[in-house]
Amino acid sequence: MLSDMIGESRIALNAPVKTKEEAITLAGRLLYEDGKVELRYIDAMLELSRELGAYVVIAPGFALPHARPECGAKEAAFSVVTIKDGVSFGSKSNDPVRVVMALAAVDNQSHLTALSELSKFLQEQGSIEAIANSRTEREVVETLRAFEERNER
Amino acid sequence: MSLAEPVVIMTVCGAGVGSSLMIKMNVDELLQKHKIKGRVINSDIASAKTNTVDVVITSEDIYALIKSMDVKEVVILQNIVSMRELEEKLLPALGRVLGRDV
Repeated sequence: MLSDMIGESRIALNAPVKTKEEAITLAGRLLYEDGKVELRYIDAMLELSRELGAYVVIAPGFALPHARPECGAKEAAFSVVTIKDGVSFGSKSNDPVRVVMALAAVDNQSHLTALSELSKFLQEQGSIEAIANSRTEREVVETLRAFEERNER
Repeated sequence: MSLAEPVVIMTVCGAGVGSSLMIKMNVDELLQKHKIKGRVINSDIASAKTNTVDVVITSEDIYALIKSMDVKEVVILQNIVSMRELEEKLLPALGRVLGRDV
């Protein structure tokens, strides 16, 4: 379940980040401090971001930075960083980014369900805003849980 | 190509475990909904360049790096998770590959 892979300790709201590098680094540190990735995973994400530009911005205002599993991912997990006024990632159609969710994947399968849920969640009207405007970490997790319950029916 | 052969679709992203997987899941759903026989592979950039497929689906930034791919149709998505955008762009592309309306 998506909400299970996001621990409250891995959420940073209204982060004072000004660049995409800062946002990705913070999201990476949240994963690292919880033991989900090795330190080098953060560099790997930054590297991919440098090489591939705005490819991580998968929906309006939402970025999903991640790297290949062999670059230091230890456990499948997500971290969440929200940025009040958004940050530019260089995306022609989807900037500014207000929600950054870093993903640690350990293989091609374990995070499949979570990604599928995330994909559906992102397609719902107002879902990204709901996360971006959350005032507490718990609110973020609750928003996702509520979505999961709605979909289970 | 014969009508019995599945169309081969490749989704590409930077690391092969994020966007490409999400697109693949949506494509699988779309193919099932429209009863089209297809094989969907998700890949990272390095592997993408060495494959010959019918359709490639990716984002603008990634496509710039795999332009040399031997492919019949290219679908560029702005919103990676949008089923609606995928339908709008992929169905006509599939129609052209299969030589019929889908």
